[in-house]
Amino acid sequence: MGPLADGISNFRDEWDNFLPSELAESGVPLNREEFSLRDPFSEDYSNFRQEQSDNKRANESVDDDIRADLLEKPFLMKNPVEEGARGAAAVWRSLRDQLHEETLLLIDSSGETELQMLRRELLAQKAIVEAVSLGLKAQLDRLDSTLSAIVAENSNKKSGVND
Amino acid sequence: MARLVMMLCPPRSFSSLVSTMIGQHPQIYGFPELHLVVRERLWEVMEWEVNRAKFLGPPGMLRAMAELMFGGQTPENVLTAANWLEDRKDWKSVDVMNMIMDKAEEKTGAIYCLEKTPNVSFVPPALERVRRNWPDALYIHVTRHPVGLKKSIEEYVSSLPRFSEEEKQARLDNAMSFWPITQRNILDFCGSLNPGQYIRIRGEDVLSDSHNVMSQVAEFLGLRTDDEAITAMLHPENSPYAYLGPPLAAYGNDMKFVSNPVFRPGKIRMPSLANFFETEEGAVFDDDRKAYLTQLANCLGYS
Repeated sequence: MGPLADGISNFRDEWDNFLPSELAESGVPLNREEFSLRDPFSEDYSNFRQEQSDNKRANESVDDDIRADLLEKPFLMKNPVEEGARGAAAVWRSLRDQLHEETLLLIDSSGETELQMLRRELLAQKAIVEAVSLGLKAQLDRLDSTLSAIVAENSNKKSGVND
Repeated sequence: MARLVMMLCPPRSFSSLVSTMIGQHPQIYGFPELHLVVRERLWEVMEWEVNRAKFLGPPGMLRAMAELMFGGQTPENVLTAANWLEDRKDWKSVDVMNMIMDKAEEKTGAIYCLEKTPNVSFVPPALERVRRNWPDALYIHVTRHPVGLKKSIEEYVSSLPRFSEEEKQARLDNAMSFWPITQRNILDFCGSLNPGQYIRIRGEDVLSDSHNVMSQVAEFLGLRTDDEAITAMLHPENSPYAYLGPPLAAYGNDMKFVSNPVFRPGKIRMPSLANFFETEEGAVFDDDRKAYLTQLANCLGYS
Protein backbone atom coordinates (compact mmCIF):
# COMPACT_ATOMS: atom_id res chain seq x y z
CA MET A 1 0.00 0.00 0.00
CA GLY A 2 1.39 3.44 -0.93
CA PRO A 3 1.41 6.50 1.28
CA LEU A 4 -2.10 7.67 2.13
CA ALA A 5 -3.53 5.12 -0.30
CA ASP A 6 -6.11 3.85 2.14
CA GLY A 7 -7.66 6.60 4.19
CA ILE A 8 -9.25 4.23 6.69
CA SER A 9 -7.84 3.53 10.08
CA ASN A 10 -8.72 -0.05 10.67
CA PHE A 11 -8.46 -1.81 14.00
CA ARG A 12 -7.61 -5.09 12.28
CA ASP A 13 -4.73 -3.43 10.39
CA GLU A 14 -3.36 -2.05 13.61
CA TRP A 15 -2.82 -5.58 14.84
CA ASP A 16 -2.17 -7.53 11.67
CA ASN A 17 0.52 -5.15 10.37
CA PHE A 18 2.47 -5.69 13.52
CA LEU A 19 4.66 -8.75 13.39
CA PRO A 20 4.79 -10.59 16.72
CA SER A 21 7.88 -12.48 15.55
CA GLU A 22 9.90 -9.24 15.70
CA LEU A 23 9.13 -8.71 19.36
CA ALA A 24 10.99 -9.40 22.49
CA GLU A 25 9.15 -10.99 25.39
CA SER A 26 6.24 -8.74 26.22
CA GLY A 27 3.76 -7.98 28.94
CA VAL A 28 0.98 -6.89 26.59
CA PRO A 29 -1.34 -8.96 24.36
CA LEU A 30 0.02 -8.95 20.82
CA ASN A 31 -2.91 -10.31 18.85
CA ARG A 32 -6.53 -9.31 18.71
CA GLU A 33 -7.92 -12.58 20.04
CA GLU A 34 -5.69 -12.50 23.08
CA PHE A 35 -6.71 -8.86 23.63
CA SER A 36 -10.46 -9.52 23.26
CA LEU A 37 -10.39 -12.49 25.61
CA ARG A 38 -8.41 -10.64 28.27
CA ASP A 39 -11.36 -9.19 30.18
CA PRO A 40 -14.98 -8.14 29.51
CA PHE A 41 -14.07 -4.51 28.80
CA SER A 42 -11.41 -5.49 26.28
CA GLU A 43 -14.07 -7.47 24.42
CA ASP A 44 -16.46 -4.46 24.52
CA TYR A 45 -13.73 -2.15 23.24
CA SER A 46 -12.65 -4.54 20.51
CA ASN A 47 -16.25 -4.76 19.26
CA PHE A 48 -16.64 -0.98 19.47
CA ARG A 49 -13.52 -0.35 17.37
CA GLN A 50 -14.53 -2.96 14.81
CA GLU A 51 -17.98 -1.41 14.49
CA GLN A 52 -16.40 2.02 14.17
CA SER A 53 -14.10 0.99 11.32
CA ASP A 54 -16.95 -0.85 9.55
CA ASN A 55 -19.12 2.29 9.76
CA LYS A 56 -16.27 4.45 8.57
CA ARG A 57 -15.63 2.20 5.61
CA ALA A 58 -19.33 2.32 4.70
CA ASN A 59 -19.41 6.13 5.03
CA GLU A 60 -16.25 6.53 2.97
CA SER A 61 -17.77 4.65 0.06
CA VAL A 62 -20.88 6.87 0.19
CA ASP A 63 -18.68 9.96 0.35
CA ASP A 64 -16.73 8.83 -2.72
CA ASP A 65 -19.97 8.64 -4.72
CA ILE A 66 -20.92 12.11 -3.57
CA ARG A 67 -17.51 13.62 -4.22
CA ALA A 68 -17.52 12.54 -7.83
CA ASP A 69 -20.24 15.12 -8.51
CA LEU A 70 -19.45 17.57 -5.79
CA LEU A 71 -18.33 20.49 -7.98
CA GLU A 72 -21.30 20.13 -10.32
CA LYS A 73 -23.76 19.57 -7.50
CA PRO A 74 -22.58 21.58 -4.52
CA PHE A 75 -25.96 21.09 -2.84
CA LEU A 76 -24.78 17.54 -2.10
CA MET A 77 -22.35 18.90 0.47
CA LYS A 78 -23.89 17.94 3.77
CA ASN A 79 -21.46 19.65 6.08
CA PRO A 80 -19.90 22.92 4.85
CA VAL A 81 -17.46 23.06 7.77
CA GLU A 82 -16.06 19.62 7.01
CA GLU A 83 -15.93 20.33 3.28
CA GLY A 84 -14.24 23.65 4.03
CA ALA A 85 -11.49 21.89 5.98
CA ARG A 86 -11.02 19.29 3.27
CA GLY A 87 -11.14 22.00 0.61
CA ALA A 88 -8.53 24.15 2.36
CA ALA A 89 -6.21 21.17 2.62
CA ALA A 90 -6.73 20.29 -1.04
CA VAL A 91 -6.11 23.87 -2.18
CA TRP A 92 -3.01 24.09 -0.06
CA ARG A 93 -1.66 20.78 -1.30
CA SER A 94 -2.33 21.60 -4.95
CA LEU A 95 -0.96 25.15 -4.84
CA ARG A 96 1.95 24.42 -2.57
CA ASP A 97 4.15 23.10 -5.37
CA GLN A 98 3.70 26.39 -7.19
CA LEU A 99 5.78 28.03 -4.51
CA HIS A 100 8.75 25.73 -4.88
CA GLU A 101 11.57 24.83 -7.21
CA GLU A 102 9.66 23.45 -10.20
CA THR A 103 7.66 26.61 -10.86
CA LEU A 104 10.64 28.84 -10.15
CA LEU A 105 12.67 26.84 -12.66
CA LEU A 106 9.85 27.16 -15.19
CA ILE A 107 9.74 30.94 -14.66
CA ASP A 108 13.50 31.24 -15.05
CA SER A 109 13.79 29.09 -18.16
CA SER A 110 10.62 29.70 -20.25
CA GLY A 111 10.10 31.83 -23.33
CA GLU A 112 7.65 34.73 -23.73
CA THR A 113 4.56 32.70 -24.75
CA GLU A 114 4.98 30.16 -21.94
CA LEU A 115 5.54 32.96 -19.45
CA GLN A 116 2.35 34.76 -20.61
CA MET A 117 0.34 31.55 -20.16
CA LEU A 118 1.88 30.83 -16.80
CA ARG A 119 1.19 34.42 -15.73
CA ARG A 120 -2.52 34.05 -16.59
CA GLU A 121 -2.69 30.81 -14.64
CA LEU A 122 -0.99 32.25 -11.58
CA LEU A 123 -3.19 35.36 -11.67
CA ALA A 124 -6.32 33.19 -11.84
CA GLN A 125 -5.16 31.13 -8.88
CA LYS A 126 -4.26 34.28 -6.96
CA ALA A 127 -7.72 35.74 -7.63
CA ILE A 128 -9.41 32.59 -6.34
CA VAL A 129 -7.28 32.50 -3.20
CA GLU A 130 -7.91 36.21 -2.57
CA ALA A 131 -11.68 35.83 -3.02
CA VAL A 132 -11.74 32.97 -0.53
CA SER A 133 -9.45 34.95 1.75
CA LEU A 134 -11.87 37.90 1.73
CA GLY A 135 -14.80 35.62 2.60
CA LEU A 136 -12.83 33.98 5.39
CA LYS A 137 -11.79 37.37 6.76
CA ALA A 138 -15.44 38.39 6.99
CA GLN A 139 -16.23 35.15 8.82
CA LEU A 140 -13.27 35.68 11.17
CA ASP A 141 -14.38 39.23 11.98
CA ARG A 142 -17.83 37.95 12.86
CA LEU A 143 -16.34 35.09 14.89
CA ASP A 144 -13.99 37.44 16.77
CA SER A 145 -16.82 39.71 17.79
CA THR A 146 -18.90 36.76 19.08
CA LEU A 147 -15.83 35.27 20.78
CA SER A 148 -14.88 38.46 22.62
CA ALA A 149 -18.42 38.66 24.02
CA ILE A 150 -18.18 35.03 25.25
CA VAL A 151 -14.66 35.53 26.68
CA ALA A 152 -15.85 38.58 28.61
CA GLU A 153 -18.77 36.55 29.99
CA ASN A 154 -16.55 33.60 30.98
CA SER A 155 -13.64 35.53 32.43
CA ASN A 156 -15.02 35.20 35.96
CA LYS A 157 -15.50 31.46 35.67
CA LYS A 158 -11.76 30.69 35.29
CA SER A 159 -10.88 30.79 38.94
CA GLY A 160 -11.68 27.12 39.68
CA VAL A 161 -9.13 24.23 39.73
CA ASN A 162 -7.79 22.66 36.52
CA ASP A 163 -9.94 20.00 34.91
CA MET B 1 21.01 12.08 22.61
CA ALA B 2 18.63 13.10 25.39
CA ARG B 3 16.86 10.20 27.09
CA LEU B 4 13.14 9.65 26.41
CA VAL B 5 10.57 9.95 29.17
CA MET B 6 7.18 8.70 28.03
CA MET B 7 4.00 9.67 29.83
CA LEU B 8 1.43 6.87 29.83
CA CYS B 9 -2.22 7.69 30.45
CA PRO B 10 -5.64 7.60 28.83
CA PRO B 11 -6.84 10.83 27.22
CA ARG B 12 -8.57 13.25 29.63
CA SER B 13 -6.29 12.41 32.58
CA PHE B 14 -4.94 15.94 33.16
CA SER B 15 -2.18 14.81 30.81
CA SER B 16 -1.63 18.16 29.05
CA LEU B 17 -1.35 19.95 32.37
CA VAL B 18 0.84 17.33 34.06
CA SER B 19 3.17 16.76 31.10
CA THR B 20 3.61 20.50 30.52
CA MET B 21 4.37 20.97 34.22
CA ILE B 22 6.98 18.20 34.23
CA GLY B 23 8.36 19.50 30.93
CA GLN B 24 9.07 22.85 32.58
CA HIS B 25 11.80 21.33 34.76
CA PRO B 26 15.01 23.10 33.62
CA GLN B 27 16.64 19.78 32.63
CA ILE B 28 13.66 18.42 30.65
CA TYR B 29 12.28 19.40 27.25
CA GLY B 30 8.51 18.87 27.25
CA PHE B 31 7.00 18.21 23.83
CA PRO B 32 3.34 18.57 22.96
CA GLU B 33 1.68 15.38 21.63
CA LEU B 34 3.95 14.23 18.79
CA HIS B 35 1.85 11.17 17.79
CA LEU B 36 4.87 9.65 16.02
CA VAL B 37 4.96 6.36 17.89
CA VAL B 38 1.38 5.39 17.09
CA ARG B 39 2.56 3.88 13.79
CA GLU B 40 5.77 2.35 12.44
CA ARG B 41 6.26 4.63 9.40
CA LEU B 42 5.72 8.35 8.99
CA TRP B 43 3.24 7.92 6.12
CA GLU B 44 1.11 5.74 8.39
CA VAL B 45 1.20 8.47 11.04
CA MET B 46 0.15 11.06 8.42
CA GLU B 47 -2.71 8.81 7.30
CA TRP B 48 -3.83 8.45 10.91
CA GLU B 49 -3.84 12.25 11.25
CA VAL B 50 -5.85 12.72 8.04
CA ASN B 51 -8.48 10.44 9.57
CA ARG B 52 -8.61 12.82 12.50
CA ALA B 53 -9.07 15.77 10.12
CA LYS B 54 -5.49 16.97 10.72
CA PHE B 55 -4.50 17.27 7.10
CA LEU B 56 -0.95 18.57 7.43
CA GLY B 57 0.30 16.06 10.01
CA PRO B 58 0.42 15.88 13.81
CA PRO B 59 -0.16 19.46 15.08
CA GLY B 60 2.15 18.94 18.07
CA MET B 61 4.95 17.68 15.84
CA LEU B 62 4.48 20.58 13.39
CA ARG B 63 4.67 23.05 16.28
CA ALA B 64 7.76 21.38 17.76
CA MET B 65 9.49 21.42 14.37
CA ALA B 66 8.56 25.06 13.74
CA GLU B 67 9.86 25.94 17.21
CA LEU B 68 13.07 23.91 17.18
CA MET B 69 14.05 23.70 13.51
CA PHE B 70 12.59 26.61 11.60
CA GLY B 71 12.84 29.60 13.91
CA GLY B 72 9.51 29.80 15.72
CA GLN B 73 5.84 28.86 15.60
CA THR B 74 4.56 30.93 12.66
CA PRO B 75 2.07 29.79 9.98
CA GLU B 76 4.88 29.87 7.39
CA ASN B 77 7.14 27.70 9.53
CA VAL B 78 4.30 25.25 10.14
CA LEU B 79 3.91 24.89 6.37
CA THR B 80 7.67 24.41 6.01
CA ALA B 81 7.49 21.71 8.69
CA ALA B 82 4.56 20.05 6.88
CA ASN B 83 6.58 20.03 3.66
CA TRP B 84 9.54 18.54 5.50
CA LEU B 85 7.37 15.69 6.78
CA GLU B 86 5.66 15.21 3.42
CA ASP B 87 9.07 14.82 1.76
CA ARG B 88 10.13 12.14 4.25
CA LYS B 89 6.95 10.07 4.47
CA ASP B 90 8.85 6.83 3.97
CA TRP B 91 11.00 7.43 7.07
CA LYS B 92 10.54 5.30 10.15
CA SER B 93 8.71 7.15 12.91
CA VAL B 94 11.51 6.35 15.34
CA ASP B 95 14.04 8.22 13.15
CA VAL B 96 11.82 11.32 12.98
CA MET B 97 11.35 11.17 16.74
CA ASN B 98 15.11 10.84 17.37
CA MET B 99 15.71 13.77 15.02
CA ILE B 100 13.36 16.10 16.94
CA MET B 101 14.81 14.91 20.28
CA ASP B 102 18.30 15.77 18.99
CA LYS B 103 17.11 19.25 18.03
CA ALA B 104 15.59 19.75 21.50
CA GLU B 105 18.82 18.70 23.17
CA GLU B 106 20.92 20.88 20.83
CA LYS B 107 18.78 23.94 21.49
CA THR B 108 18.16 23.61 25.23
CA GLY B 109 20.75 21.17 26.60
CA ALA B 110 17.93 19.02 28.04
CA ILE B 111 18.90 15.70 29.61
CA TYR B 112 15.42 14.26 29.04
CA CYS B 113 12.74 14.75 26.39
CA LEU B 114 9.19 14.20 27.61
CA GLU B 115 6.57 12.94 25.18
CA LYS B 116 2.93 12.19 25.84
CA THR B 117 0.56 10.79 23.27
CA PRO B 118 -2.41 9.42 25.20
CA ASN B 119 -3.63 7.36 22.22
CA VAL B 120 -0.55 5.15 22.61
CA SER B 121 -2.13 3.59 25.68
CA PHE B 122 -4.96 2.19 23.52
CA VAL B 123 -2.57 0.31 21.24
CA PRO B 124 -0.33 -2.34 22.84
CA PRO B 125 1.83 -2.63 19.69
CA ALA B 126 2.59 1.09 19.97
CA LEU B 127 3.68 0.61 23.59
CA GLU B 128 5.90 -2.22 22.45
CA ARG B 129 7.31 -0.02 19.68
CA VAL B 130 8.43 2.51 22.29
CA ARG B 131 10.04 -0.18 24.46
CA ARG B 132 11.86 -1.71 21.51
CA ASN B 133 13.16 1.56 20.07
CA TRP B 134 14.13 3.24 23.35
CA PRO B 135 15.12 0.43 25.72
CA ASP B 136 16.40 2.93 28.29
CA ALA B 137 13.23 5.09 28.24
CA LEU B 138 11.61 5.97 31.55
CA TYR B 139 7.83 6.03 32.03
CA ILE B 140 5.45 8.14 34.08
CA HIS B 141 2.00 6.59 34.47
CA VAL B 142 -0.62 9.25 35.23
CA THR B 143 -3.99 8.08 36.51
CA ARG B 144 -7.38 9.66 37.13
CA HIS B 145 -10.46 8.28 38.87
CA PRO B 146 -12.57 6.29 36.35
CA VAL B 147 -15.76 8.24 37.06
CA GLY B 148 -13.96 11.57 36.69
CA LEU B 149 -12.40 10.39 33.46
CA LYS B 150 -15.76 9.19 32.09
CA LYS B 151 -17.35 12.57 32.78
CA SER B 152 -14.45 14.40 31.18
CA ILE B 153 -14.60 12.19 28.06
CA GLU B 154 -18.34 12.82 27.77
CA GLU B 155 -17.84 16.55 27.99
CA TYR B 156 -15.03 16.44 25.44
CA VAL B 157 -16.78 14.18 22.91
CA SER B 158 -19.96 16.28 23.08
CA SER B 159 -17.95 19.39 22.18
CA LEU B 160 -16.23 17.92 19.11
CA PRO B 161 -17.67 19.23 15.85
CA ARG B 162 -15.98 16.61 13.65
CA PHE B 163 -18.09 13.68 14.89
CA SER B 164 -21.61 12.96 13.67
CA GLU B 165 -24.30 12.52 16.32
CA GLU B 166 -24.14 8.77 15.72
CA GLU B 167 -20.38 8.66 16.23
CA LYS B 168 -20.62 10.79 19.33
CA GLN B 169 -23.23 8.47 20.81
CA ALA B 170 -21.10 5.38 20.11
CA ARG B 171 -18.18 7.01 21.96
CA LEU B 172 -20.37 8.14 24.82
CA ASP B 173 -21.79 4.62 25.18
CA ASN B 174 -18.24 3.26 25.41
CA ALA B 175 -16.74 6.03 27.52
CA MET B 176 -16.41 3.86 30.61
CA SER B 177 -14.58 1.09 28.76
CA PHE B 178 -11.74 3.48 27.80
CA TRP B 179 -10.50 3.58 31.38
CA PRO B 180 -10.06 -0.16 32.10
CA ILE B 181 -8.68 -0.81 28.60
CA THR B 182 -5.95 1.79 28.79
CA GLN B 183 -5.09 1.16 32.44
CA ARG B 184 -4.82 -2.58 31.83
CA ASN B 185 -2.64 -2.00 28.76
CA ILE B 186 -0.36 0.27 30.78
CA LEU B 187 -0.22 -2.05 33.78
CA ASP B 188 0.54 -5.10 31.60
CA PHE B 189 3.19 -3.08 29.78
CA CYS B 190 4.81 -1.70 32.93
CA GLY B 191 4.92 -5.24 34.34
CA SER B 192 7.48 -6.07 31.67
CA LEU B 193 9.75 -3.10 32.44
CA ASN B 194 12.81 -3.18 34.64
CA PRO B 195 12.31 -2.16 38.26
CA GLY B 196 12.85 1.56 38.62
CA GLN B 197 11.92 2.26 35.00
CA TYR B 198 8.53 3.73 35.81
CA ILE B 199 6.65 5.75 38.37
CA ARG B 200 2.89 6.14 38.86
CA ILE B 201 1.25 9.36 39.98
CA ARG B 202 -2.39 10.31 40.44
CA GLY B 203 -3.49 13.37 38.48
CA GLU B 204 -5.65 14.42 41.42
CA ASP B 205 -2.54 14.47 43.67
CA VAL B 206 -0.77 16.77 41.22
CA LEU B 207 -3.60 19.24 41.75
CA SER B 208 -3.74 18.94 45.51
CA ASP B 209 -0.07 18.37 46.41
CA SER B 210 1.85 19.63 43.42
CA HIS B 211 5.15 20.53 45.07
CA ASN B 212 5.63 17.07 46.59
CA VAL B 213 4.53 15.18 43.47
CA MET B 214 6.80 17.24 41.21
CA SER B 215 9.72 16.72 43.61
CA GLN B 216 9.03 12.98 43.52
CA VAL B 217 9.07 12.99 39.72
CA ALA B 218 12.33 14.98 39.58
CA GLU B 219 13.90 12.61 42.11
CA PHE B 220 12.74 9.57 40.13
CA LEU B 221 14.46 11.02 37.04
CA GLY B 222 17.59 11.83 39.04
CA LEU B 223 17.24 15.55 38.35
CA ARG B 224 17.54 18.71 40.42
CA THR B 225 15.00 18.98 43.24
CA ASP B 226 15.92 22.46 44.45
CA ASP B 227 13.22 25.11 44.87
CA GLU B 228 14.06 26.87 41.62
CA ALA B 229 13.60 23.66 39.60
CA ILE B 230 10.35 22.64 41.32
CA THR B 231 8.91 26.16 41.13
CA ALA B 232 9.58 26.16 37.37
CA MET B 233 7.44 23.01 37.15
CA LEU B 234 4.51 24.84 38.72
CA HIS B 235 4.41 27.27 35.81
CA PRO B 236 3.18 25.31 32.78
CA GLU B 237 2.13 28.60 31.17
CA ASN B 238 5.82 29.25 30.39
CA SER B 239 5.94 26.37 27.90
CA PRO B 240 6.00 27.41 24.21
CA TYR B 241 3.23 24.84 23.67
CA ALA B 242 0.90 26.06 26.43
CA TYR B 243 -0.99 28.36 24.08
CA LEU B 244 -2.91 28.09 20.87
CA GLY B 245 -0.45 27.45 18.04
CA PRO B 246 -0.51 28.94 14.54
CA PRO B 247 -3.39 28.16 12.16
CA LEU B 248 -3.16 24.61 10.73
CA ALA B 249 -1.39 23.39 13.89
CA ALA B 250 -3.30 25.06 16.67
CA TYR B 251 -3.28 22.38 19.36
CA GLY B 252 -0.99 19.47 20.24
CA ASN B 253 -2.29 19.84 23.78
CA ASP B 254 -5.78 19.71 25.21
CA MET B 255 -7.93 22.63 24.02
CA LYS B 256 -9.20 23.34 27.53
CA PHE B 257 -5.63 23.50 28.83
CA VAL B 258 -4.36 25.86 26.13
CA SER B 259 -7.28 28.20 26.72
CA ASN B 260 -6.07 28.74 30.30
CA PRO B 261 -2.70 27.06 30.99
CA VAL B 262 -2.00 28.60 34.40
CA PHE B 263 -1.77 25.93 37.12
CA ARG B 264 -4.73 26.29 39.47
CA PRO B 265 -4.21 23.91 42.39
CA GLY B 266 -7.03 22.60 44.51
CA LYS B 267 -8.42 19.49 46.13
CA ILE B 268 -10.74 17.53 43.88
CA ARG B 269 -13.66 15.75 45.51
CA MET B 270 -12.98 12.12 44.61
CA PRO B 271 -16.03 10.36 43.09
CA SER B 272 -17.05 6.89 44.25
CA LEU B 273 -17.49 3.84 42.00
CA ALA B 274 -20.04 2.35 44.43
CA ASN B 275 -22.19 5.49 44.10
CA PHE B 276 -21.72 5.46 40.33
CA PHE B 277 -22.99 1.87 40.09
CA GLU B 278 -26.18 2.98 41.78
CA THR B 279 -26.92 5.58 39.10
CA GLU B 280 -28.80 4.82 35.89
CA GLU B 281 -25.54 4.90 33.90
CA GLY B 282 -23.71 2.66 36.34
CA ALA B 283 -26.52 0.12 36.61
CA VAL B 284 -25.97 -1.03 33.00
CA PHE B 285 -22.78 -2.86 34.03
CA ASP B 286 -23.12 -6.53 35.01
CA ASP B 287 -21.55 -7.91 38.20
CA ASP B 288 -18.42 -9.12 36.36
CA ARG B 289 -17.71 -5.68 34.96
CA LYS B 290 -18.46 -3.95 38.25
CA ALA B 291 -16.10 -6.28 40.11
CA TYR B 292 -13.40 -5.88 37.48
CA LEU B 293 -13.64 -2.07 37.48
CA THR B 294 -13.58 -1.95 41.28
CA GLN B 295 -10.55 -4.23 41.50
CA LEU B 296 -8.61 -2.24 38.89
CA ALA B 297 -9.56 1.07 40.53
CA ASN B 298 -8.43 -0.22 43.93
CA CYS B 299 -5.18 -1.37 42.42
CA LEU B 300 -4.54 2.20 41.25
CA GLY B 301 -5.47 3.76 44.59
CA TYR B 302 -9.12 4.68 43.89
CA SER B 303 -12.32 3.46 45.48
